[in-house]
Amino acid sequence: MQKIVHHFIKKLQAKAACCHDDKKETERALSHSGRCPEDYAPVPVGDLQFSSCEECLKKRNKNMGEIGSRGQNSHSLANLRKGETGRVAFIRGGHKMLRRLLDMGITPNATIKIIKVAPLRGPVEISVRGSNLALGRSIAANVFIEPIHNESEAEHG
Amino acid sequence: MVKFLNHCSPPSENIQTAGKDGKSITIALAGNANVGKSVIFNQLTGSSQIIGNWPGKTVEMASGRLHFEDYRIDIIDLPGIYSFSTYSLEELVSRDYIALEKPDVVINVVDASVLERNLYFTLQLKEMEVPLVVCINQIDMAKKRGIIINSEKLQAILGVPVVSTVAVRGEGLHELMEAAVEVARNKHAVEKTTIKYGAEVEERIEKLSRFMESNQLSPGNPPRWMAIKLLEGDSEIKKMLTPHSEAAVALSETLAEEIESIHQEPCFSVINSERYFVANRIVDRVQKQTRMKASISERMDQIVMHKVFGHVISVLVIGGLLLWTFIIGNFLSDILSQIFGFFQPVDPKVSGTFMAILWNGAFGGIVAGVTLVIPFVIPFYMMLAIIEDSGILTRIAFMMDSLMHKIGLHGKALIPLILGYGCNVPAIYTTRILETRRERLLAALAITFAPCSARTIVILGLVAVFVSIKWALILYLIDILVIFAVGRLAFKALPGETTGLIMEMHSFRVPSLQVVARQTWIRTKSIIYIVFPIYIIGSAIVQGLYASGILTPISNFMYPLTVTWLGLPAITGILLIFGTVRKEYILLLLTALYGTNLSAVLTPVQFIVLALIGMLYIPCISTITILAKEFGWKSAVMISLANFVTAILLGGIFYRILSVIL
Repeated sequence: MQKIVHHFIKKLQAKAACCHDDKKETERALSHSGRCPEDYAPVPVGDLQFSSCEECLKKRNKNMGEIGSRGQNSHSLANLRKGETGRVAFIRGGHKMLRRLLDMGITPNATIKIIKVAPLRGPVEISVRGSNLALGRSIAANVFIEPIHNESEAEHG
Repeated sequence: MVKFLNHCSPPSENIQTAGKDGKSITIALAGNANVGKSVIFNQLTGSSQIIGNWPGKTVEMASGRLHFEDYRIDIIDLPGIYSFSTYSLEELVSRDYIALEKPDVVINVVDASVLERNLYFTLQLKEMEVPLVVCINQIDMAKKRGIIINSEKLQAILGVPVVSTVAVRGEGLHELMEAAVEVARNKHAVEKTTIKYGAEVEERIEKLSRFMESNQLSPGNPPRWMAIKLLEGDSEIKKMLTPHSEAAVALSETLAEEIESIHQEPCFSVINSERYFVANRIVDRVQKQTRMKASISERMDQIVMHKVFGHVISVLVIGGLLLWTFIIGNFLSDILSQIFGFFQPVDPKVSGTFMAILWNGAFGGIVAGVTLVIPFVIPFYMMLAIIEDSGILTRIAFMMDSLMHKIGLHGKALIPLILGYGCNVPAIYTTRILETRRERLLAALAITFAPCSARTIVILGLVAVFVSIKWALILYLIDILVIFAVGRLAFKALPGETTGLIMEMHSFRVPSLQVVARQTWIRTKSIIYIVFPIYIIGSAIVQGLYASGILTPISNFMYPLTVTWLGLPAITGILLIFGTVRKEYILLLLTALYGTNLSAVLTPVQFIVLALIGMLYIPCISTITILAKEFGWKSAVMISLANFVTAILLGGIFYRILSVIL
């Protein structure tokens, strides 16, 4: 890890890097505003599996799309516990994956309840629009919800 | 590929003739995965499509025929899909079928328990303006979950006939067919109710569809549907339209951008949300839901997907399937052998008239088939049907997702792998539920190492009977390790990103006796009708060849491999050659040549090594053929080679280790 951080500092000094990976708080702090030094795009919250800025940029250019808008309180599905409920704030992913998730009813503002979280970084089972879906951890990590605590509010979407 | 733009110059003669000439109607069954399309299909046509409680069983269209009133009705069972966005093969197949073939009626099968998501698909069918009947299936299951749907109200809103059914029990199917025939008869008279989306989207849809209509750019297809697809950025439609009218494509892009700037979202997402918004509003009006206590299914989920028990249960299901097969199979096998032994003991002949030798071989084939194959195959297929129908497969897939990622696959790949324990051929077909070719190839490779029922028979018939049950189970364990090791190696050799899991989890259900019995019979039947004759003929041929002495040079040729490296008798070379046709031959021919008391011929070590080799050394010819068909000859040869090398390596090592231990 030390090595990567070091690498980042170097990159930042060269002002030719961005860091969309905030796996570690330190890395995020390095980029001050939470924005990419390259093009000032906001660094996404959550756990993206990049180890370098190049990888991040490459992926971003490939076709990472984003739907919905980030709220103040967005949590990734991968970080929630069983029984928690919330409304979809935004989804991030490849074009194909986004379409698939939308088709399955995971649209902005849809209400999602966490039914089960498998151990060992396994999938997350959610209930959305009356159906139960299993989402692999890597997909769940890219679906963000705004938690709702009031049950009755959750019923009317 | 979508060809309908250049395909439909005469405005669909199909529509004009069908239904009116009297007497023939084509009906397509469409809907989400696992809503009961295949059940309805089987009920109506008496066909034997494989059914079960997991999404993705129907990977290709199936067709069947029935006679209803005065009509000859062809029914097409389409694969289950969630949308027509053509991001998967199934979606493309279904959309092409509906857009090109223009069935007289589309029956949209809907799961009553998940109305909202199912209506999302119904709305897309409405956009395509196909003659539609909505079938709300599994209303009994929905009722148990406290869901009641007012079908009259839904019918009024959608403007198409809505029929409630419980397909497994055949309830409502007569009414469904009546409604479908009625729609086919009057499809031109039906007034079209269009379901409108939000004003700013609808405005642009209309603008674009008017443009399409006035320039005659959508022959045979509803302009409104084309417009929506264009706004969604559908690449197939765009590609087809560009040579005809770049203006239309440009207009659609401008309009899509307008929508995007209003909503600050990609246009496809806006339209998607609009559909869900409409579906949600309809559900509010037609569905009553009372809160129920946790259903049995939910309570079972708590156990089956428990973080500790869940894994234990997954292992138990797979292990139990094998143990059950062995115990019941061995019991039945004993009884049948005694019955046969009572009539005529199998005593192979190598001398006498040629006909006598042939007859003896053929008879040996029959006896071996009846006493060794049938007793194991029936209990195995029965249990497999129960597992498939219960819904536990998706739970196991859920629990095993992380583990499967280690071999570059996601949890759903476990479903074809488990089916591979029955027969590799349909299992390899089922890999179509996976997303990419690479994943399908990795899964297919793993499947060829899964001991199908034929290999199970060899293992049980050789090892469990003549050595011990313990060693038979150890062989299975080794096999699972081999699958994992080979899978891991292949994953390293074929690196790439593993697609994440997205899988619908359906409720548990008590397997229906009728379905289980039927499924077992369908699979057993194929063994009896197709494979049995092969046993008999093969067995006779081998005994004839053996008597004539042709086999000796062949066995001698393979001597260095079979005898020197693997420590097996020279005749094994012949067994392995014939075993490529059907793996059972390894056991059957051995019996045909040496009689049923094999312990006089082979040592325990040889039994185990032979079973191990038989289990791994090559996929049978049918499997190789299906591999070639699905992935090309190169991949099929590579996979077969991987099998062969693994088997020979392991076999030699085992021979040496076992000789010390045993």
